[in-house]
Amino acid sequence: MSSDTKTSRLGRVTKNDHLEYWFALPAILILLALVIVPMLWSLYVSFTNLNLTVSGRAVEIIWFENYANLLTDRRFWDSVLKTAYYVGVGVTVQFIIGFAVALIMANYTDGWLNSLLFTVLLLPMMMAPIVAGLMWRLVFDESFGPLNHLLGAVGLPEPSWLSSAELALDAILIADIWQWTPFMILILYTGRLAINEDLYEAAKMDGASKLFTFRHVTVPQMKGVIAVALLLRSMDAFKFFDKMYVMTQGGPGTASELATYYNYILGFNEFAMGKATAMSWLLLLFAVVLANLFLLILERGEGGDRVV
Amino acid sequence: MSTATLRDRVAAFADDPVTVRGALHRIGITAFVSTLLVVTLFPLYWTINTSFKPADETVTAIPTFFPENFTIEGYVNVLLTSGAIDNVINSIVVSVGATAIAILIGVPAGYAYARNPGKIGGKNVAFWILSLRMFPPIAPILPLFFIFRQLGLIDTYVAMVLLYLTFNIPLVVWLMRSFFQDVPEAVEEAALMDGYSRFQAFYKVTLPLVTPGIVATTLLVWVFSWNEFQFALVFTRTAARTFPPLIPTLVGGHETLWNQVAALSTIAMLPVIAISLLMQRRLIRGLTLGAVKG
Repeated sequence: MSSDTKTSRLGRVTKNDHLEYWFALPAILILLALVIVPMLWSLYVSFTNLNLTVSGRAVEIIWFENYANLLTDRRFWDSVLKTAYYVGVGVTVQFIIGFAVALIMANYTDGWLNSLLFTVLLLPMMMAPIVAGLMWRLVFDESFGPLNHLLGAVGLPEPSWLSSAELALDAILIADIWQWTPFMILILYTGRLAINEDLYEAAKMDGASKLFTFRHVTVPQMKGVIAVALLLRSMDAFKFFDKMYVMTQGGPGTASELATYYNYILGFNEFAMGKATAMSWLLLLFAVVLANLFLLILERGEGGDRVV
Repeated sequence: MSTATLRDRVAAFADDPVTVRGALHRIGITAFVSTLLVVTLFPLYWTINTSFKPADETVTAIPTFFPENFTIEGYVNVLLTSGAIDNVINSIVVSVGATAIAILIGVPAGYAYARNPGKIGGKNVAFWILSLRMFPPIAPILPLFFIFRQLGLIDTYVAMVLLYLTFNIPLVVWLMRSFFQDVPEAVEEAALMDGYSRFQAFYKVTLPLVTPGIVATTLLVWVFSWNEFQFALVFTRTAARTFPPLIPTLVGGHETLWNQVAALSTIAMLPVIAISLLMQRRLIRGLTLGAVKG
């Protein structure tokens, strides 16, 4: 089912028409005008000392000074390390819980119960991250929130979730795990259902243990789905901004400040456009690596079975 | 039933390992399902609970798990007194506008990339379009803020719709490409043999076949536009401000009216919940950018 054979087949009937050009042109032009041209301009700005608070100063090209400043900026590295922690721990926890729940759903619960779970699990991931953040801001509140009230009632310590430097980032992480573990569950569940049951029958006939079946049937069969789930979540987690904004605004101090938020501060609090655009390009490079990995997997799966 | 028979039954039950295992099994599943439901639904329930309390009941030292003085004043006050109804209307205008234009422009492009990618830059351009969806928003926001400020477009509907096209069009093109690929070309070839033009074959034959795909794509793109926060935060002030950037401003300040914030959040959730209930499994394909076909 490669696209080359497609071209030749329809091409034979249609010869020289330009339908594809007219169909694709508006989309490409809009994306060029709204994304590519501005991004090229942003690349240029990242080599200058443009600062919106300093008016009247001639904009000078300072080449890699913004990049050098960033790489020696403690706050930059702090925000990057926190992002790595946040993406790494968050996606790992989401995956482990998600995989376990997906397999339990596929093996132990049936028909209507799974429909109910499927519907309920869609709710967190479909709602606005800013709303999800607000919900957890209410749950975590230290003076009137239900969580500390319940913890206190059973004699557990009542931590100051959002106002302590040690816990703020983890509190946001918990909110994010709540919102996105369902995504992992539903994708992995869908992927597990796509496995041919004959494989499990065969394993059973051979007297394979459950662990053996998991390692040699389930995991290899779901490789593609697992990779897609991990990459999509990583790319999304990397863009993370909304929840932090409503829950802690990066605080206390900079304790929960992730890279996207520091980048926002550079641009819209300090108006240091040169440094801000430089940072956004560094973030972009990382995002492009993740995106290419995703596309690679997508391309390899294309035209194959329906799992990926 | 007499106590003796009950005791007999319990004894027989305990002696039978199969039944015991069955009971444990059922207890395990019940525990699993209830934990999952409680953890998933508790924050939603808490927000809805808060939204129906009077303001002073939202900050009591001992939180009430049901509104003691049930009231809709949170809703009335946030929409009318605080004027959030304007922001909700702005959200509707911007999200519907951006979705409609993205569908209008993206569906034909998706078709083109499904049928003859070779004519228009091939797979690489298709992948390039998709990768725009994965940019961290701050990257395009910085230069676009500068450009839109020069053009006097800050805080306008036009700016917001244009901005949302930057991530909506890539999503529509990519998803529709995947849906069009599911339609066999033989269908169109037959139409061409019958004397249809290529546009007629697309419009009258293929398009009706992908209607479910268009519906799923439209709803998903609309949800993303409705939920969008970061662009709205930077590019709107008052006139075009949508509801998401309003939420943190309501939370700021020294005295937060939590029932109002919770009410606005509940209103914001309603259409999204409706779409989730309606679409269910059909959303999976869109949420995974076509990688997993639910």
